[in-house]
Amino acid sequence: MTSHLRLLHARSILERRLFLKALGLGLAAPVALNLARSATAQPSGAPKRFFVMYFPHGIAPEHFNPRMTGPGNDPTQFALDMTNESTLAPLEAYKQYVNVYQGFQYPGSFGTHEGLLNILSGLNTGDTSTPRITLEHVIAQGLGVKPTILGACSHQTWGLDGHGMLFWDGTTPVDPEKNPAVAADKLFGTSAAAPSADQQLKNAMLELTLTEIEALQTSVSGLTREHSKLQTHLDSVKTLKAGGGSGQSSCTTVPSLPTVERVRMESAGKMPDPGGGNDYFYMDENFRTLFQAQLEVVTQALICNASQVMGLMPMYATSELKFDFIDSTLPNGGSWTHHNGLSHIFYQGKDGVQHNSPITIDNAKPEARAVFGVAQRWFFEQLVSNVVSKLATTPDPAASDGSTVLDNTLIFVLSEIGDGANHTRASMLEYPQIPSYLPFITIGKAGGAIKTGQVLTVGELGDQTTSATLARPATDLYLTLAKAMGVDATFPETTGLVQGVLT
Amino acid sequence: VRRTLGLLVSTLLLACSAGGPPGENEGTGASGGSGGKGGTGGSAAAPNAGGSSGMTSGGTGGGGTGGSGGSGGSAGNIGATSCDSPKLGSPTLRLLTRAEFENTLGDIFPAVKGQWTNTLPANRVSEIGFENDSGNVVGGQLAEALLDTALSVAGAVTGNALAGILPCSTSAPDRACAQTFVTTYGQRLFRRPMTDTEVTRYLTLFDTGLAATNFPTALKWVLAGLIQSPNAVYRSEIGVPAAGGTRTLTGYELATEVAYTFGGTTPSQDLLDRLGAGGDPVAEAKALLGTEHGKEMVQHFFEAYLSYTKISSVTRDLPAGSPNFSELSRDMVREMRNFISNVVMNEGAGVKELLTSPKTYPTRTLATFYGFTGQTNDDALLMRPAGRGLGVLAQGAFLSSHANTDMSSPTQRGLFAFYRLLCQPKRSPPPSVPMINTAPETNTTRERYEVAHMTQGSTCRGCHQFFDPIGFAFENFDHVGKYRSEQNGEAINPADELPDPDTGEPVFAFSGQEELVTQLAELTEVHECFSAYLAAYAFGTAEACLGPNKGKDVGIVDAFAALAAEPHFTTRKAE
Repeated sequence: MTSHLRLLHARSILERRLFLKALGLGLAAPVALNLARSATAQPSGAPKRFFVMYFPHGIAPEHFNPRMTGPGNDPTQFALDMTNESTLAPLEAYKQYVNVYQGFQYPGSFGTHEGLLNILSGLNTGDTSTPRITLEHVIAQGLGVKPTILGACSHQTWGLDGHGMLFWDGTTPVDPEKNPAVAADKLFGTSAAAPSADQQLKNAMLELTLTEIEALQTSVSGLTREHSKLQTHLDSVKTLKAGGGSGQSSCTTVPSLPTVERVRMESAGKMPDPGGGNDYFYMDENFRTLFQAQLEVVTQALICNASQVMGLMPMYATSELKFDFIDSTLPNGGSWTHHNGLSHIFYQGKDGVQHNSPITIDNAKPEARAVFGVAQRWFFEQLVSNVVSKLATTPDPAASDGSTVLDNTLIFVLSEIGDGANHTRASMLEYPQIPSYLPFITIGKAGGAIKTGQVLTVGELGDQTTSATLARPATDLYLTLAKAMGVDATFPETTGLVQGVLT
Repeated sequence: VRRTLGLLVSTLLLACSAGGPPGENEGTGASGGSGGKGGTGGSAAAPNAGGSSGMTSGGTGGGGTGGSGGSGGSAGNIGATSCDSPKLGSPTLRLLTRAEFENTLGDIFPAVKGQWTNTLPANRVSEIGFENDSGNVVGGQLAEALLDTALSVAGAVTGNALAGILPCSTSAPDRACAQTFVTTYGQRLFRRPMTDTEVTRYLTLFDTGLAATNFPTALKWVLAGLIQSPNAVYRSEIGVPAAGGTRTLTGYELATEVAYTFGGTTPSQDLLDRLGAGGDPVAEAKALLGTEHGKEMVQHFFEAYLSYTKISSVTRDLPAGSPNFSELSRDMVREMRNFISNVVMNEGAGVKELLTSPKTYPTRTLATFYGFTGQTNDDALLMRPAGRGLGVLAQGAFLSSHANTDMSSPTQRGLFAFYRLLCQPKRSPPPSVPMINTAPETNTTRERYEVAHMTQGSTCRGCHQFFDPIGFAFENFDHVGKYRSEQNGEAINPADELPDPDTGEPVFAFSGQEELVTQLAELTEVHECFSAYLAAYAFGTAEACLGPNKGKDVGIVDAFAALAAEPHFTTRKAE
């Protein structure tokens, strides 16, 4: 055993030297890491990484659902690029890493207007002040790391309201880091340890703060609400004092992040006006750049394991950002605004067809729905080109069994809405031929813990009045994904692990 | 037809979306718009509207429940209740907002202003739209950001600036010098004298630091501790036990409350001394509202109440040849701030003038865009021509922020009045949006909304009948606040009736924005509702109630300052 540990240590030193040498040649970090990895390939266990990405406004099911291509509903025989505009088409080349989940809902009486607040925790309340903890924080806590939460125009200028509160840390909503340059500096900045004296003083100072909070608690004895408020503060400072990083990074220098550097340059000095405007990080016109820059950060952080658990919220739940940058020549019926203009497109009845009349796909309003499918496909194009394709081709620098980063990563992509127009939150058959599901997708093998390459259907389809009792709680899937990450978790309203997901 | 507008909580239970607009696909002529749901329009819950129930006839309210307060001090959806006499709120520790924290440190350490970084996250916006909710807590993210920001400030103060801030740091950098620093700046940051125990704690930390490092470094950690101390980041409104099971705020607490509520920043030593000696809080409030920070507090109230700064980050479709919307929106924000500054602050407008003043102060670019003539100087007074709208709800910033990217939104505009002028309780949308009766071809936005939301028998109508008609009054103004008399060749129809929220019966009829706001400005309910929002902003909660007849025939700034005389301002219930 001793000898083995020595060997591991020696290999670590060698890897580090090769890595630094490669960087000295001016190679981008992933390439440098590849060289280091290939020169020292040895079996080792790499840490599992988790990344959750939200996208707003749901999907158009007739452009999203995988086409099943095999006999007898074989869940492993499917195509992602044969469903009209195929929102998931960018993942077709990586479908051996992909699972598409059908049949989950988030429970409770609250609807999609509170969906963002509830979707990742499984809590059932529309109250924005009720504490809750969301999937990525549950996993991070289980792994003993701090999650990195990023955003691109993820809420409005005036503060964090119900349309932007996706991530929760158990007590409060988490404001996603809006500036990718700040995120990159934190993740890839100088990793030199703080002087021991500073660490000592920091601990002494935080201990003093804890003492003060406890003294204040004593002074508000009998005032239950204020006592509880201070207990939250106390717990937060205790966690801060305990420390803990976001991951054991193998990056020794800042990776190449060209879009992040562009943001750093473009945003310099663009501070808010008194009225709250003119802030680079809130402006719709900068969304695409910010999204791409944050994906750059995610990719490099996952490769380096600079952050083991990450979340990204591009846009907020009711964003009206215009998507005419995709192809403004497409016939779409008029509007390119994402929330109302694209996602709210209903089927258009033929002349004379009235509300509640039978609707078939023949009398749908196809052009507008198609553009929504294209707009949502854009999110997956960004994810694949900036993250998935890179992780799939980058050997994991922390592994020595030849596995890629994507082999050791679990990416969960979701929206809180099924059909964008009808705001569905459960699986249902809204129209003949077109089942609607909450869009839940995973990509990556989580270190071999996930059985991938399948369309997994759970629960049953219902209609708008009965679906809530037929679909399965989303928290069952969260329980399963946490398990795949090596975390035994609890969530509200679970019924058990989802069969067929874990290896 | 003029009827009493009841203020009882509506018992209307029909589920319907109270959010965004119907379909947006206008302009192509190919098809009608799609029905649409949900959205961004003012999802405020009503704060506790103090004052008499019912309208001028006295109504049927009375008593009222006072509201539950919700968890953590949020107003939540407490409905439009009423109270016969003022109701006290709870004792509380109010977390400084991001802006208050920044102002405080800027005022206490002016020598290093601009030399440190505020990394505090966005404030949580409460159900009624304000970010200073008294229920806000320090979670993990904020605790870390407080530490980071405190260290940034402390690093700046104990760097090159230290010699000027603390002369003994160069002449005699010892424990006594550190004690001078702790007692001086501890009192500023805690807004009260420190106790001996507290001073000793910090000097012990200093001793530890000095043993391990040097004077400036040791002082840096001491200062960081003071800045992120719970005694600094919370405004104490706890008080001490008093007669009748109440709690009375101390002089220091009262001075702090006055300073932050009306000045947005920490109290000066003079203010602490004056109010500690029994000074007049209303007079101090009025004085603070005249300062730059105080004026900003008024502006900030209107930013939150009107939700108009949204336009700074969004896009709006404009005809070819128009100025860039990012430039126009900046001018619209400027015009709104000019309106608030001149009409509300300088002229002392009340709610009536707020809603009906014909004055506006656009830039030349914006005036030209609106089609106004004669504006030769930016920000100069311009009287709106008849028919071009009145008051704050005719401002481009309001109209554009309560609109969609490419079309107006009668729902968003109507909801603003429904929630923020009439204090109606929040209507819950259905879990899933029902199938909409998609439209045949329509020419006007109103027609589209009427088909999507107002068709007899549709589920949507259950709720939208109460606010979409209000929004139709604004249809002469498009999605960027520009006047129009027709849409796609069809004349605009801005006529409708204000429906009673309880019965749906018409309260009054109107044709256009001017008739609507002029009649709204006469409703007692509107004045009381506005007062309730103002109080919720000042108190950080809608739990307290002002009592009857507040807010009418009083200037808004005076009414704001007068809140310092409210029982809640100095006294709290036991809990």
